[in-house]
Amino acid sequence: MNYFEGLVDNLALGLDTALSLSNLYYCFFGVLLGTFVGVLPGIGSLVALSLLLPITFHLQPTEAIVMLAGVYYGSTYGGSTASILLNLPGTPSTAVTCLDGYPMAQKGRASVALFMTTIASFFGATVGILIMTLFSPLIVAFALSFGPAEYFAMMALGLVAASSISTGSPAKGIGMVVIGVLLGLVGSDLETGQPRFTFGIPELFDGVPLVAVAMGLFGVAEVIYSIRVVKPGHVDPKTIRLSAMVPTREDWQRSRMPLVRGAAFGSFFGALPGTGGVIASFMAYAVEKKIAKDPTRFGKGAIEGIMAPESANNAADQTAFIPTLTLGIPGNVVMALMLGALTIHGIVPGPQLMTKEPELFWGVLMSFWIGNLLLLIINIPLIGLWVRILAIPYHWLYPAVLMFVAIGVYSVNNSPVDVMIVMVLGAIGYGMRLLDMQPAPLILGYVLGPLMEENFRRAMLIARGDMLVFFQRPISGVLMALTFAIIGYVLYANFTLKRRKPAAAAGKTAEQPAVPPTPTV
Amino acid sequence: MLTRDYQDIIAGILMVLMGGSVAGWAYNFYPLGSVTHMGPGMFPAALGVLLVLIGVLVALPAFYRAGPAIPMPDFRAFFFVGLALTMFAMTIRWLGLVPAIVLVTMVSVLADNKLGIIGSIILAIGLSITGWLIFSVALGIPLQPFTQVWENWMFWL
Repeated sequence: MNYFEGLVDNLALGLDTALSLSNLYYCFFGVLLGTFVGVLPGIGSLVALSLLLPITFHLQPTEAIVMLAGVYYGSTYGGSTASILLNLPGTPSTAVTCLDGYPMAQKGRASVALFMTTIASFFGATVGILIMTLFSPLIVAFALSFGPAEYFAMMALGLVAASSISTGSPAKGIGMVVIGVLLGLVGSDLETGQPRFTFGIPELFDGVPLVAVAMGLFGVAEVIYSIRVVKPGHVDPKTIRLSAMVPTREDWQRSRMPLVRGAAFGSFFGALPGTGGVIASFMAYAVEKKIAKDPTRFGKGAIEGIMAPESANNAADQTAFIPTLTLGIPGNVVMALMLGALTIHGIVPGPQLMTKEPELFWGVLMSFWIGNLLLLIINIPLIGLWVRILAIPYHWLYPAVLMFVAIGVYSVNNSPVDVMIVMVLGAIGYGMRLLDMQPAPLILGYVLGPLMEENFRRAMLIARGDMLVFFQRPISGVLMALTFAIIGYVLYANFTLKRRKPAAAAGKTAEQPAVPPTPTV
Repeated sequence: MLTRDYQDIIAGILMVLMGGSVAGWAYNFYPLGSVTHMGPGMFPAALGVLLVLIGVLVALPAFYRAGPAIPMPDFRAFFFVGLALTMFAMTIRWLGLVPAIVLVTMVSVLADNKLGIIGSIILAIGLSITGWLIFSVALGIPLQPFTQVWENWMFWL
C-alpha cells in the first residue's frame, strides 16, 4: 500500500514540476527539435544532442534533461516519416519501418502510414512510461544495497554489452570503449590529486570536457563525413493530406496485437544495456512476420510491419531511461550524454537520485507524457510541414551545425581555445570514421570510465585486494558471469567473422550502424 | 574489396600503439601502488595492457579476411571545416558574434561549394540573426554582436 501511496504523491510532484512554464517550454522545444532532426537528412538525434549540451550549462538540470530527452524520443517520431516517404531511415531505430512503410507510400497510402506510425509511437511510449513509473522505485529500493563491487560489475556489463552487440565488429567496439575510458581518466586523480596524461596543460587538469568530445566526434567529424554523402529527399507535399490519413477498419484490426507485442519487446530491450530501440524494432518485425498467417504480405506494405517496430522503438526510448536514472548506468550513448549533462550540474547519477532529487526524476518522467502528447499534435496535423523539411539540402544545413558547434563550445568558458580543441577532436573523429572506429562506444567509456575506476579501487580497498570479490558476491557474480559470456562470444565472433559490410556507405546519420547483426528479416 | 581488411589492421595497430604508450607512461611516471591501495597509475596501466591485447585481437584476424576499401578522405571538406572553426576562434573576441558567424558560414560553404554566393550571403545573414537570437537573447549568454576593435585591442593581446 505504501508503495502506491508514495507513487501517487511522487506523480503529483512530477506533474507539478513538468507543468511549470519553463519545463513545458523546454519540453516543447525538445520534441519539436527532435522531430525536426529526425526528419532531416544528415542530422540525427546524436548530433542534435551534442549541439545542445553546452546550452544545458545555462539551464536548470530538470529543464536540461527534459529538453534532451524530448529531442531523443522526438527524433524517433520524426525518423519514421523519413523511413516511410524516402525509404531512408531518419534514425537507426526506424530503419525497419522502411520495409513496409515505403511500399505503403508507393501504393498511395503514405498518409495512412504516417498517421498509424504516430499512433503506434504514442502507444509504445505510453507503455514504456508506465513500466518506468511502476518499476523504477522497485529497482531503486533494490539498488540501494549495492556496493562498489556491484557497481563495477554493472558498468562492466553495460559497457561490454553496449559496445559489442550494437556495433559492427565486437572486438573493435570494446577497444573503443577502452580508449574512451582512458580519455575519461585524463585529469587529476580523484584520490591523490596526481595529474594524469595532462602533459602539463593546465586546461586538462579537470579532464577533457564532455562538450568538446561530443561536439568534436559527433558534430564536426560528422559534418566533414556527411558533406559528400548526404543527399536530400524529395516528396511532393500534395500527396500527404490530412483527409487521407483515416485508416480503414481492417487497418485497425490488424494493428491491435502488433502494437501490444511491439511495446512488450521495446520495453524489455530498451531497459537492457546495449540493445535498445534498434534491436527491439528488428525483433518485433521478425516476430510479426513469423506469426503472421500470410507472411508474404510483409515487405509489400503490411500495416503490421510498421506498427510493431514503431511501437517497439518508442517503448524502448522510454525504458532506456530506467537504468540511466535509477542506477546511473547508461545503456546507450544518448543516455551517456544525458548522464554527462547531469554531472555537469553536479548531480551524481545513481539510486540516490530519486530520493535526493525527486523533482528531477518525477518531473522528467511526467514530461515524457506531455512530450508524447505534444508529438501527437506535432506529427499529425503538421505533417505537411515536415514533408517540406525533408527536402532541405544538406549544404544549407551543415554551416548552421558548425555555427552551433562554435558558439556552443565558446559559450561554456568564453574560451576560443576550446573551439580549437573541438576542431582537433573533430579531425581525430574524422580519421576514426575512415577506419570505421565507432565514436559511440568511446563516449560511453568516457562517461563511465572515472566512475568505474573509483568503484574498482573502492572494491579492492574493501576486499583487501582480492579480485575474487567480484565473483563471490551473488549479484556482482551474476553480472560478471554475463560479462564474461559476452566476452566469450566476442572472442568467438572475432575469429569467425568473414567480412563486414562496408561502412554505412549511404548512411544518413552518425549513430546509424550498418544494418544491425540481429534477426534476418 | 581488398584482399585484407586494412581498416581493421590499421585500427588494431593504432590500438596497440596507444595502449602500449599509455601503459608505459603510467608505469614510468605515476605511482602504481598495491592492488589493495591502488595508486593513480594502476588503472591506466592495466587498461593500456588490455588495449594492446584488444588491438592484437582486432588486427590479427583482419590479415586473413577480405575487407572494404578505406574511403578516400575528403580533404576539401576537412580543410574548410577546420578553417571555418579556426576563423571563429580567432574573431569571436576581436570582432564579435556576427562577424564570426558570417566568417564561419562563408568559409564552410566552400567545403562543398554547392551554395552560390547569393545563397551563402542569405545563409550568413539568416544564421547571424538565429545565432544572436538563440544565444544572446533567449539564453542570455553575454556575447556582443559587434565589438569595437580599437576598444578591445588590449584584450586581444
